[in-house]
Amino acid sequence: MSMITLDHVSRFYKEVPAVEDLTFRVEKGEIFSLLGPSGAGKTTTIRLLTTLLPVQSGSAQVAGHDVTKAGKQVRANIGYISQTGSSDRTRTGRANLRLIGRLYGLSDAAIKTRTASLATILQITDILDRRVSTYSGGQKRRLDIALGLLHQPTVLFMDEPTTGLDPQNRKDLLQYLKKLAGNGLTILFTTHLMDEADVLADRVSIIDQGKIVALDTPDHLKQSLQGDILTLSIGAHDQTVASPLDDLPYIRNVHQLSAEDFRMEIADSAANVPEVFQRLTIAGLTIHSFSITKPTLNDVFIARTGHAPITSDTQETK
Amino acid sequence: MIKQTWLFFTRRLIKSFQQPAMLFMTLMTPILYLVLFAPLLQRFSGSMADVLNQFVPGILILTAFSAGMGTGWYVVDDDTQDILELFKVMPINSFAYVLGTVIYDIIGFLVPAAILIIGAAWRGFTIHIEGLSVLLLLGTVFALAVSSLTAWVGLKIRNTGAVGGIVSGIQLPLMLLSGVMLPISYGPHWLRTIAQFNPMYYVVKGAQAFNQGTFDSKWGVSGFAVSLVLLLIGLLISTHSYRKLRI
Repeated sequence: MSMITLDHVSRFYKEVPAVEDLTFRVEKGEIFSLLGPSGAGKTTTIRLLTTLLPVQSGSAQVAGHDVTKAGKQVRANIGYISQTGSSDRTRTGRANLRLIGRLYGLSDAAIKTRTASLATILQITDILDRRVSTYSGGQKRRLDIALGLLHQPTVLFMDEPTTGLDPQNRKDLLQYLKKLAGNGLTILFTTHLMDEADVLADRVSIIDQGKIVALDTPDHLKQSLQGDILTLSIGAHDQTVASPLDDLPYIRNVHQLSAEDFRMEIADSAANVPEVFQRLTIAGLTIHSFSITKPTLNDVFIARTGHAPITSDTQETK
Repeated sequence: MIKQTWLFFTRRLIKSFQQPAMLFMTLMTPILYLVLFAPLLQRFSGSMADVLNQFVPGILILTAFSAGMGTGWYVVDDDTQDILELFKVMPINSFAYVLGTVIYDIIGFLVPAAILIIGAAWRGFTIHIEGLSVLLLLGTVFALAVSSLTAWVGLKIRNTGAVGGIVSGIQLPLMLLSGVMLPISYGPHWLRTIAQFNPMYYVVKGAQAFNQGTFDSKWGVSGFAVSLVLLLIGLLISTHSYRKLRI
């Protein structure tokens, strides 16, 4: 059963497309990630699905309700954790939870039970009666997550959910979210952290410049690359490594990461790396260091978009 | 919707107690007018009782105006803290948020008004129970009207500094042209003409009529009419702006 459906959804700011022709489905109990750099269109997509922004073309349904025609029903079914958090800093964590619970129509007893349960899981029991303005970034983030889960939504939207969390809290949260998905909660989250999407998501949609460039399970996406990733560091040089390797059939997608660093996909690396080194040496290039790794989603992103996800100064050379 | 309205009202009420300095200034402002300004008028009107009978109704309306002004900042603060973003993805009635936030100003007006009336009575202000009751009702409607209009300004402008500039910038000419400080009849013809276009002028004149126990004057009717129309417009446009707010 699809809990989120997008059918050729687009949204423009003036003439510029923020997201363009998005089409995908998210099934009940699935954890789905929108992965991409800042400005890729991830937050806009979440805002369209949570009714914060109107869909300009195409259609979208959440929990079986059209986001344009039945916004109220959509809002009754979703939880939302924004990128910056939405707690009231002037009030205590408990007062924040109580207000949100009451606005959702929960009974005081239900609010009390749910608050205690979430506070234990998210480790905020000790700070619940303090004003939010006194919380650390991580504590505030955990309160935001509790606010999004208090009413037990059927679909949860999270925009960069682990921002501000330390590694242990991050790990605990990811485990908890997996458990919730196991109980039937559908989760769509955005992230620019490749490893987070890899660890948490059942399926990943890589989004760049408002368009989906890849969509599959993390394993399938990584397997779509040919073999391993070879990263080379050569001395500062006028030429790139692309020319000497041009005709090697087992080399694909050579990208220059910096003035001295290059990455490429290489099939059967154990057998083929010696020939690569030989070609580069004959071309007069000195290899300072190299590494051979299994592909990550970062490599998938580079392969599908032609540029690195965070920095903009990399360039494709083949 | 009623429950949500109540929740937004109590939320603002609780938050106001968390800002004691602001609360103190709100309560002190009418007293300051009474103590530091009213004596200046004694030169024109004779006894302090005469001064207060003329001056207090206007100050009550000014108190209503000041009470309603704070809503714009309150709404912008909710927006700045991204609290509105959370409310917007919840099944919340747009009118409930606006109404619950605005009706706080009933208390925001009546509490300092009561302090002002007690202080003024102590110094000779004549209280007509019925007239004063209707006057307070008029002030309440006016406070709600100002509150809903500044909520709209806050939702449209979404910037604390800009809201402050607009609201404060409007307050001074409206106050001076309403006859709160000194009767407009003291002014030249052009000033009296401009004052006719000031909605607050009619509210102040209405308040002064009610305070004298006159219930059927054109000023009383026009004061209520102006306040109710402004309130209706304010609630409509602020609810519309909340609904259309793009996060």
